[in-house]
Amino acid sequence: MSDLIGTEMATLLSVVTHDPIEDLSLELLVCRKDDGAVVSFQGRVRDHDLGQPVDGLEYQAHPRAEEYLAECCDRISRDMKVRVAAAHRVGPLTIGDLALSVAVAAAHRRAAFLACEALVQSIKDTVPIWKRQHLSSGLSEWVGL
Amino acid sequence: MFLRIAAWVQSVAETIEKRVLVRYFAAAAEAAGCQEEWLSVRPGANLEQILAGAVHLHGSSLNTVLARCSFLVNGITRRDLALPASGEIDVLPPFAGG
Repeated sequence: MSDLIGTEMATLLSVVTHDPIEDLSLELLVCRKDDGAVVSFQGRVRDHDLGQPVDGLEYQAHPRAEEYLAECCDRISRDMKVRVAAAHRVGPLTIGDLALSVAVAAAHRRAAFLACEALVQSIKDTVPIWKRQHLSSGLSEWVGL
Repeated sequence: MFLRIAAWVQSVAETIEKRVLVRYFAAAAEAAGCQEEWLSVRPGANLEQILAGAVHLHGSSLNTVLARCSFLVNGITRRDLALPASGEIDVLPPFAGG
């Protein structure tokens, strides 16, 4: 971390993985002593969608999804002058599992909140990852199609 | 003489069908019934024609999904379906990460 002192912006971690991402401690990774604000986001698998009960999800990623995620993180950190880290899990997930974890650090609160929201939106818009939703009714469907 | 031979070789080459690799993801793979396939196409075929060939093989359910898809040609986003395409084509349904 010491080599980062003095840099205004950076992507500390961007990863797409089949492994659980609960223990990555992204907040600690992005935070420096000149940061007054760290904002993090956890996207978790919920048990309903559009009024229908959901049993679980399966995420699939393009082989180059991690490169797209890195581009996303670099763009937000550069444009909004923050430090960021992001991890997206793929494979079969159950209710409550952590699917997307994002952390943003900045000197002040407002910049960190704005950048966190912008990063999550950018990930949803530009990273080639797909979600198959298993409904309690037994049906399953690709989300967003 | 050499130029005439070269021109003849080129004219023959242009009549030979080329092969492109089409890779389908998520809902597109489900509709196509495969993850990837090699398709024979006419030289200079554009992306729209190549995809029409895929629909001919796999049926209208693929066509419905394709209408919502974006495409990579050799790893680069391709928005204009009227441009010629060769090499590797990725068929990407709407992203749903997060």
